[in-house]
Amino acid sequence: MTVFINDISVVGPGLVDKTLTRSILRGDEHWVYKDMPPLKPEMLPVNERRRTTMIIKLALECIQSLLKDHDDLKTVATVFASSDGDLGIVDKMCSALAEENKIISPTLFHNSVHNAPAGYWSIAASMKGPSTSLSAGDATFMAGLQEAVSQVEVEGGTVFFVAYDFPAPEMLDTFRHFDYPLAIAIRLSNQAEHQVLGTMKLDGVKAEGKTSRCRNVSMEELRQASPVGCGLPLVEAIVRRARMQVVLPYLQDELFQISISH
Amino acid sequence: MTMQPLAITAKTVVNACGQGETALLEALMNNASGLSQQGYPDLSFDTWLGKVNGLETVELESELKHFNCRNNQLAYKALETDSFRLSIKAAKEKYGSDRIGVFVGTSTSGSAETENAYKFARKSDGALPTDFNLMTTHNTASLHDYVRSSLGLSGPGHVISTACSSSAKVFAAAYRHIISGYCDAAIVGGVDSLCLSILYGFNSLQLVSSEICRPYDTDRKGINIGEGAGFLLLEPIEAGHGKVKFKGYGESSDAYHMSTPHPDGDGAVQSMTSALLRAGLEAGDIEYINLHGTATRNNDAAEAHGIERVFGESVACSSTKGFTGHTLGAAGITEAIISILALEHSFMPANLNLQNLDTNLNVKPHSEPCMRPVENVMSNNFGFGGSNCSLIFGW
Repeated sequence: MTVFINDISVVGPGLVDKTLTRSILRGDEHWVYKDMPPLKPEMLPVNERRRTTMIIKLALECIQSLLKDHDDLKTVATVFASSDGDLGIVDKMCSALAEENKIISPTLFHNSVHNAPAGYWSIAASMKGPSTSLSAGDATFMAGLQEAVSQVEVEGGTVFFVAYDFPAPEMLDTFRHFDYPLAIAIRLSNQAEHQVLGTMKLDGVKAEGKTSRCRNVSMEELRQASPVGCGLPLVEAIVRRARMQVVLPYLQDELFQISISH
Repeated sequence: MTMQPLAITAKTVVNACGQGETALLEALMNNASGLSQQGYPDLSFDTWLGKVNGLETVELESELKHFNCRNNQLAYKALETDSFRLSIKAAKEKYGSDRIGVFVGTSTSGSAETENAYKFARKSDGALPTDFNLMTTHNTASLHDYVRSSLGLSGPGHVISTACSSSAKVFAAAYRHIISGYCDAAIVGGVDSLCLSILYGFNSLQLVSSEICRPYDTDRKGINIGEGAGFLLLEPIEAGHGKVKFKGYGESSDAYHMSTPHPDGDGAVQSMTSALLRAGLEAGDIEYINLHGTATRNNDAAEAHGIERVFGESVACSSTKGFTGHTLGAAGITEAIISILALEHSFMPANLNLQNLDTNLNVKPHSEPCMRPVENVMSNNFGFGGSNCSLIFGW
């Protein structure tokens, strides 16, 4: 089964404008840090929208550009991958629980589940297909991609894969630090669509070597900023339509090789 | 599209009903609930809990002490039970340690560690303790990393965290990784442990019952939170002559509300029909359904509606939450193992604590265990975020 890459999306600081982002990923422009503007998940009903947190907004902003008019909302599957989920919520919950009266709001609680962004997305897009939310720590990008690819290989159809992480609040930052927020989304299908970008094959664990670096060296800082960043060399290869192998970090310091073709 | 069934060749389970499958089986056969009113540190309201006693003193392997937290202590306890490690040792010799995947589910992971660290910070100088280790305890991936290390495995895997469907969905992920050729066999499982986040969180939604939980009862007042762990080994069918098989899975999203199920059970209908399709079975082939049956007003009503739409009113069914409590991220694996025990021992466990069946619900769970051979069983798990999963096990 060939797995087609039909679209990609990247959202982060300095990577909000889609045209500029593509230029940076192609290597035509340098990446420069810019504060992200406030993200607004316009697809959500107002009540849900006001309950969303920064990381939910980031994931939704990234995944929503993968949606096409012809998508069958009952069958398209989603894989949401985040190493740490919503550390802002963890901080708020644990701070409240350390107080004498331990008051937690219903919204704070339902936002605390790892699949909160997936839940909001299903409501935003009326997507009723299978949805998996997962983590594999520093290997989250590759493990999530493997889950998404195996879904295309076994179930067929279209899978939206999105990986996202967001920096921790001050209390937790010492214990888990990300320099920048970042989200990467990839539209994978068992069929080539109009404007197909290439195909992907998971070669497997690689005994030796190094993880791939960004060809656009200005993005190296972003690549190393979170477990999502390691996916940038893969997205670069896809956008540049290069035929190449990309090596990503995998479980317990292992390496995993992916082949991109066109 | 039908799936290739996989054989279930080893299993282990720990929850409020006891340690190991014999303890669980005896509880189920004798209508003996594991729920109690013993409380939990810093818990200020009355409820019943499905607590596993003695977890605090469980010691992890000396080289894996950095994983120490209530959730991984519970995982360790399950790995030490029912000769599970011996079965995995044999599987490693057969397939190689890099060809066995680990797919596990949890909802809150080692959350209690972070809660305790914040409590410490509030009482001291405001900083979290320096020996606090977020990544190996509370991070969602901690359970996978611990189990993989503890069993000496190096295959693929991850932690699925989709609230109460987490350790049901791991079956689908494991199946796909096996069929794609990324591994030959897989351990699936789940662990969730008591923590204040869950207790106070569910209480904020007014979903926690001060009484013992009564799924599908007209007087049901909400859930009793439980903790539990379970793991099983999935192998290609050739390896499991005479073993119960994993035959079908269905996954869906409600796309309705973050913490309330679709009132018509739409998502439940989709996950149940999709599981039947994969198993190549008709609704009439399912002889028993282990309900999600949390005992909240909305869950039981939505699930009953969905079941009626797919199976009609007369299918045999029961919720076993009255035995174990709602073990959340471990509910999928706990109830999968209960379903497998039902097949192996030819019985259908009771819907414990059911006194007055809610006649607005058009399904009829049985309140006493029924001794009868069953061929095919479905287990339902539905979670926050509208995440649904139905599994089918059978001979």
